[in-house]
Amino acid sequence: MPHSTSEPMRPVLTSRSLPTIPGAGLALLIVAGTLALGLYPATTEAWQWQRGTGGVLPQPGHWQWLTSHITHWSWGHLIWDLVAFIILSFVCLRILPSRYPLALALAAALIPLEVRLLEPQFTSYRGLSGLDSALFGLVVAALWRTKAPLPRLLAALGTCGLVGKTGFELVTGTTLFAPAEPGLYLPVPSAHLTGFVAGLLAGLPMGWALTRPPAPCAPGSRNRFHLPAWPR
Amino acid sequence: MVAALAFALTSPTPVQSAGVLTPNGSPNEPLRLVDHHVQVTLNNGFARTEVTQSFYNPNPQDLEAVYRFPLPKSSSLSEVSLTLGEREIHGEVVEKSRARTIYEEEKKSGNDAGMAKKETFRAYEFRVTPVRAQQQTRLRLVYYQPLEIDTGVCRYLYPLEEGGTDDTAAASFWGTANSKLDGTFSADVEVKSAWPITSVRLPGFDSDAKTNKIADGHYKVQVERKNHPLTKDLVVYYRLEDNLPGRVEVIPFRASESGPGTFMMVVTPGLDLQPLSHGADYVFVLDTSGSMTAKLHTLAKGVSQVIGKMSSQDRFRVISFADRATDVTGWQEATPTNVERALQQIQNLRSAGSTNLYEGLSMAMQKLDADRATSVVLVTDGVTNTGILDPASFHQLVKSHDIRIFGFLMGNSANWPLMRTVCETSGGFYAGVSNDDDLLGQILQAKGKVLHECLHDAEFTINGVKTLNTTGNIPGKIYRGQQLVMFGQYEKGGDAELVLKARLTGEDKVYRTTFKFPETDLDNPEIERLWALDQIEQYELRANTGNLPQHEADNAILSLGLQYQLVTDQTSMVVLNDDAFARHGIDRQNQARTGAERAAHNVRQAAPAATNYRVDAAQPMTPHSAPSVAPPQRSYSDNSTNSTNSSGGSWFPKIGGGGGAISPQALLALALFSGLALLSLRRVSGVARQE
Repeated sequence: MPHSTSEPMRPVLTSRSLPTIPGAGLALLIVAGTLALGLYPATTEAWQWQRGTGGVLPQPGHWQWLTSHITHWSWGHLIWDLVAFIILSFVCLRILPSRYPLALALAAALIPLEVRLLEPQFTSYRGLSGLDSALFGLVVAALWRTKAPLPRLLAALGTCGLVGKTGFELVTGTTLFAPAEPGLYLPVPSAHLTGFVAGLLAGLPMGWALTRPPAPCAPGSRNRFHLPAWPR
Repeated sequence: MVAALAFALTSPTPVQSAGVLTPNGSPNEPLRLVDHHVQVTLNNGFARTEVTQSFYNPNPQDLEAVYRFPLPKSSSLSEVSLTLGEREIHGEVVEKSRARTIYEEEKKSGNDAGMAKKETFRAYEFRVTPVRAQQQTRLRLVYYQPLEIDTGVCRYLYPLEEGGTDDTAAASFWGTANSKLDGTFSADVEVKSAWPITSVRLPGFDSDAKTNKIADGHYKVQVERKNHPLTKDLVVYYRLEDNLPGRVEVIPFRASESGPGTFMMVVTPGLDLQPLSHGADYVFVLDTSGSMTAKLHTLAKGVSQVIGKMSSQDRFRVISFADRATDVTGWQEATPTNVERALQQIQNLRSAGSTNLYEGLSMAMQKLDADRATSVVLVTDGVTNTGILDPASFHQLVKSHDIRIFGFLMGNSANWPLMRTVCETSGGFYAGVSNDDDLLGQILQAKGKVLHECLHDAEFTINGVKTLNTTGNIPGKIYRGQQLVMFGQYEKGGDAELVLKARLTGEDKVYRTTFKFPETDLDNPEIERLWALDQIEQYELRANTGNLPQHEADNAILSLGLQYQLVTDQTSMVVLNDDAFARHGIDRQNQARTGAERAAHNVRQAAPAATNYRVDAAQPMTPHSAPSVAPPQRSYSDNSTNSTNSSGGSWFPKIGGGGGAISPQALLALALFSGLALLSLRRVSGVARQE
């Protein structure tokens, strides 16, 4: 397969591409788990992250650092988090499926750690929105990596939007564009920021990919694809 | 309800234990608690609780039973009856020592008799003689309590759990309590409200409760447990719909035009009280006495939550007290580092020793900054039993400092009259917290009040109709969400004007409305007893604060207890047959009163909806909606799609965290961004392909 560089050409991805399948499976698992816990709220408390149930680092046997993300405080909290998750998962699985599990895993581990270390006032944590922020970060990273002006402009706008929102919330202690559920739970804006950073990190080019230019489709290729051809 | 049953062989000793009690060394087999049924009606601003408890005597000889349970707060025990075989006998209230004499006489004569008495703030005690060998005896009692709604949420407590205080002296007479119930515990709770209810909840009874929504303001809940020990309080919460108007409700009772009428006035202010932005000082005074062992974890969590929610402008200080008071943290600014350190210190608190509340409060009064508003959050479960105990001394201590005290009483045996003295003197308030409640939610709700403006120097006056003996919770301060329940008498029917004068952020405010006192109204005869009980509590408060000599308060309480047939510290109820009442020359006042109350209750039960007693609909007294707590219809604990689900969990949401939330607007922006991202990438892809 001809290619402009000396590196072997990576196969062009299609909708049946390998990284998409586990990613989509993972997304479905999360959606199903979130809904299941929504329907059986009595079990929710056991799945949330609770301060003092584990050390600083996520440990096997204390899976709440992982499962807390699929627990929620209310249907209002759950529904919007879940819809955002589905939209962002769809986008991520279209553009950067191989990094999708990494972004989720990184955010899932970092958010409870951040809450534990930097938000001592919180004794528990629930919600998918931290993972949503990670996926958002992944999209931003993907946009940035195109090196094209329009995606980069979007990436910059997205970053400013999220950082501005969470920054405002952190500084003022109030919420911006958050549903009115006063007293039901306390927002943790820093978790959004942490998730976003985790998503960005997961979306960064790695090792071999750092020096690798975007891989355009070979002229005359009969492979069909609708998305930019860069390493996925 | 905590049932305590014993063979009373000698004079009683104050007991805080729960369940079936047997005197140490008794050769007899303990009487058994059989079925325990409670019927609760929450209607028209007050609760009616009817308890039916059966005992079985497994022994070959007749015995006397002593049945005790913690005193429900502000409850007026109004009716007691016994069913012995096929006969039912009823009670009449007489002076306490006379009741004792009569009961002992009847007991000695081998006649059927019962007696109900009150032991200060601790408990009601019922004696029944005889419980026939290998037979059952049924005790039935009815009491009333005013209902209070805070921030749109009404809480009702039926105490079943042991108080768990440090008062262990009584244990020398009574053996270990046994709360085992041989048969069924059942509760029928009916909630009728003139205002729409969004849900009813019974924390801890979720798996045993069946809730039926009859109408928007009408719910029925049934709870049934078999062979289950009576160890959990039955806490019922119901929540009113959001955005209900601020309102004034007046429930009158006037039997005839010849005498004064009685009224209960419930004011739910709808005021635009703004959040406070400046920093404040908070002192947490925490009871770490021995009885707090089981509750300390909850306490630590609750206080940690509140400290964690402080702004960096706030300062806090944590004091613990048992035998002695300890300054745990000293004054700290609420920075993340200080908060983290304080949380560790709170979690390391250990419980031991007795309860020296005075020293804890004294320490809280020290090192105050005169330029900063200071609030004291006091959490205790018990009866202060070390150091200074006199309520008047507490009153003096609190009065001499410019602070507000917010008290939280955990468990059912706590000294709430003392807490009332302390908190109301300071312009704060107090709340009971069952061990099955959510302390976190309660404290945070209180903090929500503190963090908003409040009305100062509030004063209610009624013009146009002469009112007298007006009592009730008329505080100097009115906090956000607080509902005010007041009682009084009125001379005759007619047009009246209710005026509330207060100061808000230094500005004088006047709120007013007009309404009509009816010439006669027979729908709620229970209001008279509730008014009388409120008068009694006022006398107790005045005596506690040194504003009234104790003997004068006792005389007034005796008079009210006899006239309105209430079991008080000065009066008891004797349960006899008709002949015995005639023999002892006791008028059947209570019989007439309970007859009228029962008839009125039946009429209200038969009505399809609760009567709306709002009197300011045409001219609202306050301009805004009444504040409400977080909407629980969005909470898992309330399945809004299935109104028959009583669900469990705490009424108050567990405020612990969350990842923040995504609103529909944010989601729309996100979807737009995602679409643009896909389009831009597609465009880049197209360019790349062309290249």
